Amino acid sequence: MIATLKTEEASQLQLVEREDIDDEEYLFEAIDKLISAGINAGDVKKLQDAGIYTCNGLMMHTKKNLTGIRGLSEAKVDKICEAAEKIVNYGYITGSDALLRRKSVIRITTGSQALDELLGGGIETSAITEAFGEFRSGKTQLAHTLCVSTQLPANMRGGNGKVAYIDTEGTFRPDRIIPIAERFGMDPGAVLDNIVYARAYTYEHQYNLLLGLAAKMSEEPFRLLIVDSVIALFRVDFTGRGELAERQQKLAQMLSRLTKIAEEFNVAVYMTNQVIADPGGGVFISDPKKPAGGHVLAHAATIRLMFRKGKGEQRVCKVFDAPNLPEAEAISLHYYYF
Amino acid sequence: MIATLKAEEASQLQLVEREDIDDEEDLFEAIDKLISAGINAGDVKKLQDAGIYTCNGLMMHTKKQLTGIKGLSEAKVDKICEAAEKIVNVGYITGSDALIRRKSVIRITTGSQALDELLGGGIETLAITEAFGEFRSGKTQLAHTLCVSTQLPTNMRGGNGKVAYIDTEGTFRPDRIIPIAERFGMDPGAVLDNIVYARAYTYEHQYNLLLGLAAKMSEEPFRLLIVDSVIALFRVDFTGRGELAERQQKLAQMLSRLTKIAEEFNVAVYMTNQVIADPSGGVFISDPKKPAGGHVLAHAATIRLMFRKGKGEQRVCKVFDAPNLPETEAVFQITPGGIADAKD
Repeated sequence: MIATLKTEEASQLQLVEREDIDDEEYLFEAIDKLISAGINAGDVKKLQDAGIYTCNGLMMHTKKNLTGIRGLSEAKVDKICEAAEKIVNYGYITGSDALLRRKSVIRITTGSQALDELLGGGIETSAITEAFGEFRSGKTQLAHTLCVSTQLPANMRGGNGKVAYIDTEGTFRPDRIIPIAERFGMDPGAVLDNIVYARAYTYEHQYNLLLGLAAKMSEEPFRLLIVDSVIALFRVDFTGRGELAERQQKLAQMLSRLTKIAEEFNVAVYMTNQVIADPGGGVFISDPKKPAGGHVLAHAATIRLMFRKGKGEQRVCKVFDAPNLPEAEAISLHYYYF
Repeated sequence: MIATLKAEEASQLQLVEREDIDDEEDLFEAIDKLISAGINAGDVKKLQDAGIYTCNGLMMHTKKQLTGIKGLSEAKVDKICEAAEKIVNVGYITGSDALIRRKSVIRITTGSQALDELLGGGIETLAITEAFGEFRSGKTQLAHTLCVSTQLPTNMRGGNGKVAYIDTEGTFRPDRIIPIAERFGMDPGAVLDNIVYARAYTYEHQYNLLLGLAAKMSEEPFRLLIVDSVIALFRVDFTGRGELAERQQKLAQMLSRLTKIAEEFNVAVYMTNQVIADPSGGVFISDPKKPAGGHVLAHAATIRLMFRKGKGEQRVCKVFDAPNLPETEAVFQITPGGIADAKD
């Protein structure tokens, strides 16, 4: 299937004095395990139809969400949750165990060593990385590069997994993937086959595409979900101050789903954002702008990167907000010819 | 109908190892197909009255917009969407299938080989190409040339389709079309018959003209929609900082409709933009300017081209923002026969 990738090497993890954790099995438990725990197979099927494919994913829904599924009464939901809690640990773990869990985070190279160093190794899984900036600042180009680098094996600092691409602006260019694949020494046809792509036209469609992902991601190893851009449809489907509150609520629900996908399946979520002008932004700054989406998006993104155009083909990336990275800048180059 | 165009040649597509896709049928599914899927013919008529003529177009509206149509309840809307989802695939496809879909993109020649090379072959369908620049930089001249080159057959790098022209500045000159048609060896009368033209006077009128296009485009093969210029009426109908937010919102909705038209019917959208002065633009640049429309327009345009005047009849075009083209320049010339390569 993946033509030039090598087989999974569990020795990529740092050896620690505890027993090695096999990271693929550790991360999620398929929902079928509930059947052996005594839950009716028909009920498990109803969960799958509602987009829940793992036990971890089950615990990311409120009881109200679950009783909303047709055919599941409150009593059944209680029974299902009880069984799931025995399979997956939702209680406390020690800080040392938390440190161990962080070792399952994979950092996917961006193709630029300077940018990788800025990010502490690359784009992180189990996190949402937001890239905002004006038009032509390189956000979509990085998305295309990540489509390829995610498929590299782990010893080449890739993600060794497939890519899902949700396009809300019509800027995905599969013909750009071909030279990028050749640069990394991979077969372009195989690389394109490992990208699942969808074009969304409304914010509802964008949200429904996320629900459809759970089925795919529980069956095949995905490592990256790109949403380019996360905000474009929301800015158009909701207009005016009167609809702003509803827009932010819907945006918050979608971002929450993105966070859960990232942590449930250990994928990196890379989303691009637009900028808005800031007329009151300040007398000293020429042409001030700020990222769209308001506080809802600001808080949901784990790592926020600001992109701007440099000289010619150069682009500058600055870390705007990250739990574990300093605010520094990196300059990267965008190649069109090889 | 189209006097000098040859018949459609499906072999224009690159041969791939999968079966060839017949591009005319593949691109959109008429809304009438819903009737055979069990939807009431009267409901389908209501959709058409609201400007929805294809199943693809149906999926480009939110549920809220659809329930807003008179006569369609929520239950009916759910039923309609369910039926449409079976006809059109709105889920995921592989990158390889996306590459095959890109083969349906047609690149329309601009009349200048240098400019065509800059654009990777010509103006692309399924995309919005924005041309901005000062007055007299060649934007409207290119629009007139495209009116003719779009009607060329595909083996002459044309679009083999009709043209819709929305004019907001009163600069369309049908008498310019005649020498351009003759340059390309086409019958001027037939060429003019294949252009549908409208003059818009308010931003609301401009938006409504877009809604009326869906009916036309689902019946006859259009390949180009020109909006010259997209911004003029917005700058006048909205004044001052107080109305700026509302202006940008309305502009965003209109641009979103343009994007959906481009992707629903596989047409190229060519829109011209104005420039505004940029007093804080920088001490070192003399007379700095930037395109109007703000970030809303900047993000909506797929390909942005900057035009400026060169020597005499020459004009320079620079790629400002494109997903797949490097930032380079090309020089072309305005001639009586439209846009052409510059003669040194």
